[in-house]
Amino acid sequence: MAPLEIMTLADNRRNRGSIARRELAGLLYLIPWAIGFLVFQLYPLVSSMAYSFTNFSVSGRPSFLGLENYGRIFSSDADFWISLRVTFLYVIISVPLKLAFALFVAMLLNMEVKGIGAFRTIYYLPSILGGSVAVSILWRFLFSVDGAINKALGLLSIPPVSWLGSPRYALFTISLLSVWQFGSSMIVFLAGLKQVPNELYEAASIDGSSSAGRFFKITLPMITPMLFFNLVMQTINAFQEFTAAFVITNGGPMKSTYLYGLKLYQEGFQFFKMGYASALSWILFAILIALTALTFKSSSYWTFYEDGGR
Amino acid sequence: MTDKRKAFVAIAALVATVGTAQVSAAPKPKLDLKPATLRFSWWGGDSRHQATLAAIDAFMKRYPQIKIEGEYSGYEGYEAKLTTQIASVTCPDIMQVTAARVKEIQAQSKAPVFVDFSAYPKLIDLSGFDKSFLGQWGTLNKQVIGLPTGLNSYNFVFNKKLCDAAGISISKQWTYEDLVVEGSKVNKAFPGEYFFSMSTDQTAHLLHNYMRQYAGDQLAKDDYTIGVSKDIIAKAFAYYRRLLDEKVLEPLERSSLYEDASKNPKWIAGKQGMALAWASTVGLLKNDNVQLVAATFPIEPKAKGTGTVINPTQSFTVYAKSKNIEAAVAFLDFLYNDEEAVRILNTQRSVPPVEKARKILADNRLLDPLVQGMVDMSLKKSDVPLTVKIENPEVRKVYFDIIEQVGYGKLKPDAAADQLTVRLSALLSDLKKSEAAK
Repeated sequence: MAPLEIMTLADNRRNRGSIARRELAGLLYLIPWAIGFLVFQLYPLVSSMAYSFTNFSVSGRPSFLGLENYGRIFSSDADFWISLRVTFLYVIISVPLKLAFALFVAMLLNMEVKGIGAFRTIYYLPSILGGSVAVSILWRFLFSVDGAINKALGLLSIPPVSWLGSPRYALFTISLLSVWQFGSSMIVFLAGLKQVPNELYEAASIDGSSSAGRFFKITLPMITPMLFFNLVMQTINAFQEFTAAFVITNGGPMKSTYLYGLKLYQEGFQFFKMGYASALSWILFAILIALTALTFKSSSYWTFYEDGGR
Repeated sequence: MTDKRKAFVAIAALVATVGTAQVSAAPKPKLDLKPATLRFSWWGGDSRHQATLAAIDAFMKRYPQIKIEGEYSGYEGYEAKLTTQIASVTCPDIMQVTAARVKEIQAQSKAPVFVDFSAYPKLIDLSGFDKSFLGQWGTLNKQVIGLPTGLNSYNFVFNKKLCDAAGISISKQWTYEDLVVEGSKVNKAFPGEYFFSMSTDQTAHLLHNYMRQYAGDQLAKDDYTIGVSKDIIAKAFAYYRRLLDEKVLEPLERSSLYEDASKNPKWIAGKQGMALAWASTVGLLKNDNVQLVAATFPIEPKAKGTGTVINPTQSFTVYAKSKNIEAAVAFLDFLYNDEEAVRILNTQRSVPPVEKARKILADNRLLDPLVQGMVDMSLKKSDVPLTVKIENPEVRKVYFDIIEQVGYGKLKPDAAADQLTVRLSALLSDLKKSEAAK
């Protein structure tokens, strides 16, 4: 055999060994994530699916019920439809408001002014605080009949409003808490705004375009991928909202803030009907899958990528 | 006289004769306990947390080989946490549990959830508990699985300062008509103010008390039937509307956010004349703007019963799967029977249920007179305990839903009575089927 061939074979063996070692190293790095995924995501997912076909409660062995839980949910649980309607309303109010506000603030923070870094940090702070219990309690105090908001309205001679005690305003008030946490959407919009080529604005200015024209004809189309991403993420988050409804109003007044997450919690942790609650969670999952698929399908009509891709 | 009724007469006699019993103040000989670390969970306010932690410290000083870690919080979310812990077999060694739920939790499980205290006579002295009371609230299938933490009553608590200012007479036993007539004086004297406010939970209590007095029975009975007629339910809801329409009760738009008066700015400012309160938490109502005077709930002229509620404040239990059962049982014996612990805990969980403890507090004038007064007056007029079914979370949810709709004017009393009867019947029937299937 020629020396060149021997070197090639030896090289191949070394290369294969090296590739195998790299693959092994990659797999080893993946193991912690894999264990976490299996234990904390896949196992609970499969268990929850299994429990949804049983009468599993806190204690005692579950009995198989077939589709009875799902049948009851759709045919005889009036609160299921109420919670679904309230949740859809909550999503319709909070998501567009949040995205609009996030975009508005992102555009302000895209300006080149002194101290813009500090402003960006300040506007992101509400998102760091999050929708925690402490913030929800604070929201309750702010919007109570004797709270700071009504006191401020009083300075303008406006009579106090029962923001959280009236079925008319309660849902809107807790939606504002979600809107207030616009930081993560704002960051994504800001990144998108930074990528819009300046030449487009210059060319539009030269052609005599107004600010509104530049926004609707250049800015908005160019950031539709970010808009699409934020829409999907915020919609999923909004459907899963629980803390504000639980802490601030506990679903009241008159079930006007009875979100789906709260219904699920009640069934599982107050009534101990874990099997029923599991069925509810899978129905929510199916709704979210359907809505996300719809959003993806529609995106081809209104999302534009610079390279023409999807 | 029913067995349950006898239980409360017995307790009344015990509480009334607390001064005659001879009690030894000598400390119990130290037990030979193995080293252990115990987890102890309870709910309450800050004062209860501090007292309980101090009692834990006192026990740990006496038994340095035992470490007790407190897991305490407010009530909100506690039941859900407990549910999760039972399901995941991660319960603390010692748990404070809602008294009405102890037997229900055990009954739902084939395996023991709670320890039988009567199996540890050398570690815990149960002789100070009233046998009937313990049997009613803590015994299942002859096993003592829950120990009442206190005698608790639900009362009216007047703010005498405001009542005097509005010309309200609080010296006599009120009827429900008196509540309307006297209560409406506040809004007439101070426009924009109301005599009292109630959360939905408190409204449920008041209206149930009203119904019991007319029906002589309870809304949801333990045999899965409804014990109150539609007419009486409608009458109760009509009374509720009267309280709102005649401006005795603060409108729900203003008061619905506050679980009780202690969080309502109107009460804190001394602008309300009455609050509903449990004896164990009446301390939360105290502030410089109010002067508290307790009374029982109103009693109607031809009432078939008083509806007056005396419950255990909560129950203490020990987890059956605890690895330190003996240490846990010994700790509870310390809390109930040791003079040092009794003095520390005082009435943080209302009047102690053990005779010896009541004597210690009475002899040393440590019993809060307001708390003792509330329990004493309720004991004299006590009715049979609330059924387990009326405390069932699903039953409460249906009841609360209807109350809210009446309170916000969305349902008329007659329609509300119809709805409540239909929904409650269906729910009780479902509960019967599902509990039979277990």
